[in-house]
Amino acid sequence: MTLAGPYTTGAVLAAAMLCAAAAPVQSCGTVVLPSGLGQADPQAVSSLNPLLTSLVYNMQVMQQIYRPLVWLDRHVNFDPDLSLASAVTTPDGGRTWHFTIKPWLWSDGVPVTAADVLFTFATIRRLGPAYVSSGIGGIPDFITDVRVDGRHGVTLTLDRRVNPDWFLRTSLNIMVMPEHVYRGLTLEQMRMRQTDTDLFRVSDGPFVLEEFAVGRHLTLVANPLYGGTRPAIRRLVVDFLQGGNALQALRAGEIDAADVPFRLWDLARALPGFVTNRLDGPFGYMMLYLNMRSETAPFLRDVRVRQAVALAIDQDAIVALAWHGQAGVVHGPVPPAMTAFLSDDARHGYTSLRHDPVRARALLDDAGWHVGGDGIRTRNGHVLGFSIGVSAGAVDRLIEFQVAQRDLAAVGIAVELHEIEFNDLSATLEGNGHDWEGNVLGWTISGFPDTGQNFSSDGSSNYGHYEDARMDALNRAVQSDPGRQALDAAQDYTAAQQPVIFLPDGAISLLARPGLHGLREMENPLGAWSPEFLSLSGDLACAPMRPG
Amino acid sequence: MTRIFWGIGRKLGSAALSLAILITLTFVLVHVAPGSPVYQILGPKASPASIRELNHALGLDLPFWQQYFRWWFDLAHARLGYSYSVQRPVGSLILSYELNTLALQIISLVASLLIAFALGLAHGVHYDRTLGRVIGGLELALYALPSFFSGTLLILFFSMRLGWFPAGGLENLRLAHQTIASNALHMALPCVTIVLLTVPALSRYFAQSVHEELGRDYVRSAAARGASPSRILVHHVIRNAMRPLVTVLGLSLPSIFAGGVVVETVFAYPGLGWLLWRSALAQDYPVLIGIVLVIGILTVLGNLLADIANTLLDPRAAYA
Repeated sequence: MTLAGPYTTGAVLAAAMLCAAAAPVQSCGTVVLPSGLGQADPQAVSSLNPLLTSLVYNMQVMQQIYRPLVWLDRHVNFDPDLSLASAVTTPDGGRTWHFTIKPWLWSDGVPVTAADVLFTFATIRRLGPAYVSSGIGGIPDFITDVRVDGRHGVTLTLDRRVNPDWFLRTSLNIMVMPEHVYRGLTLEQMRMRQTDTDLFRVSDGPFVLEEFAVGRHLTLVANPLYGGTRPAIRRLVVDFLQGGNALQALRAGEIDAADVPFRLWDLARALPGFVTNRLDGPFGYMMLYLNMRSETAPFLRDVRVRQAVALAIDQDAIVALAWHGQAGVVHGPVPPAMTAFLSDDARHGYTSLRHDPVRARALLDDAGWHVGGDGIRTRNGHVLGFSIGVSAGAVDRLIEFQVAQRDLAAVGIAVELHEIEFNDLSATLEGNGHDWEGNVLGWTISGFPDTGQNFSSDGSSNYGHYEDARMDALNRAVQSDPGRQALDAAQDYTAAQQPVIFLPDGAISLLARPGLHGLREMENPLGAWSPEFLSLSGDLACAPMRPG
Repeated sequence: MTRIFWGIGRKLGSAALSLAILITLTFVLVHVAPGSPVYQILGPKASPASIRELNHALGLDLPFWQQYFRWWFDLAHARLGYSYSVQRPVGSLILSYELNTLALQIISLVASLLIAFALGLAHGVHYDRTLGRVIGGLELALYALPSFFSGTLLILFFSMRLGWFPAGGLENLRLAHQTIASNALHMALPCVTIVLLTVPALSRYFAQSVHEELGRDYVRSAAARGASPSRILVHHVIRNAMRPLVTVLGLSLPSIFAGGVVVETVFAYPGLGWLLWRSALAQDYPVLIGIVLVIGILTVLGNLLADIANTLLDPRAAYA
């Protein structure tokens, strides 16, 4: 070999590497999506155990691996096509529940049976308070017995008769886990192996976990043994994009869709080479929690003050300025997009709560708060003012509350805004030794839109310590009385009392590559994903694709 | 030689003390920070009972001093703990991210050294002339450029506008199997950012050193004996001028292992610096303290290696 040999070889190798790097990527049938798409900014999936976490990022992936007993569609109705149960009946009007499990197979070929359902309920019972939704929807407290009826039948007996509409939509979207994989694991082992790929390779959902790069991304591939509608895509990669910018990644071709920040909506629509998709919903809102036990702001217990706050805030201005027109005015606990659950008053937008600073001032006058020299009201030397904590970095939310701050100052209420990290905000709301006055939390309804969890005296998310015997009675009625009357009464009373101040949340839109279809069908406004409805064309597909 | 070992032992002793203080301070700071990691783990809709249960399972309901001594006890048994946010042993987690950091930092360092050497030599030789001033000005301008700014500019231009490089990460997730070429493409922009950050400091150090050496008596003596300027430069000046550069390199050892938090964050590059930042946000105490421990140990090692290297380059340094 001459001296030129190694140089030539090196040059050829370098050129080959460059060509390989620059060549178009062959990734037919692969879709790359950021975690939390359609719901929240990307974050890492941190657990795949559905009994130990309820974080939306985790749920969206877990639902691809484990089918829930009951899947709720975008109208919040039982969807037998996507559920593990083909039928759910309650012959005695809410005390006994029969489920028929579909004769599906786990991805390792083992049949899915009623024994898996039994095992899942037994594990929930064994976990006790460690079960992430312990007590919510009466699980497991209301259950007195779970029995297997043959290979595919399960009967659940409760200790009371419940409102079937409520129970079906609140308590039964439990993901069923494969007994033959989890059998013998201690609770501690379950807790320590929440990201262990080996534990989550067996699936009865549309996808199977292929790879889990902790903290970075995970890859799902279509489950060839899935009993439902098989995905039209081959691989789904969920990029956690932690600290990354989803729009940048989309423009650089690394991912296929991203949430559009509200302030960039007009720019996004004009961006060549991409398409926009507006999603249904939102099935949620912002809640300004007011601490009824605050020693520094005891006036928050006065319903007149809370009503004045609600009346003073110009939600139309918020919708225009913070959400760029992509949100609706909200005054009650059922989001306006959940039309099937709205009371008559709610459907009309609670006209008595519409922006009315004159009425707000009159209510505050009536409560004994009088305007001082600086325009802020006082009573017996105490200033009518309180602080509000807003999640750090949530620009749209901050703008929303800057508008609210301006409006409240106009009627004589001084508000101080401060940004805090999510963990701190949550700990503060849980009353972790802090006194606080107001805190903002975005809330998405994931089933029946009842108010018990947030506003019953013993509600698990009653962070503001709201206590009201009538509210408790109404919420109990929602859980027990069949029909819609109880829900209507509870939501109207909640709107009148304003235990929290309800404020608009934006309806998310997505920016996507043109060859990606079915995003709207994939995104359930309750927060779930159905990527089996995605399909591809053009470069992304590489070849004509058909489901199955 | 005994004196050298005695010196090393003394340095190690004081370093261990510094490390213990550093760990204690970190432990105090992360625990007095408001909030709790359990909310990040369970989500906002978790029941209060499950929050209490997880707090108990993680030992977060113990008094601060008990948590503190438990951590030291675990360390004594070679256990760095378990990550709260990704449910993995801290040791293996740090190692997996460390390898990415090492790859990026070593490539960047080699590139930086080569460029800094050439630039610094030219600057040092032409110190008071136009070329030296131009290079000096360029170095100052680059030195003043913060890495988050240069990194963002690189993304905007090369990734968003030209589409030549990915905007972040390390892998092309569309590929079923990663290739070296794909990884190299992802590392290109972070690498250039680190080079832009490192070269000005190294080359200015080196230039200053070359300039000082050129003014010393031994250079004049060599010239008087008829040695050519290039021979003086290569055989005498460069060797002596390298010493301060070795010290700087030794001190940069922790950053080689710990990565640049800012650069890795801007590019969402999955290295140790990025992991540090994510762990701080998620209040993942075991990972955070584990990384601080690693960085502390590497700082001590870096200092020590620099001392040893200097001693080898100039034995007089051993007696200093």
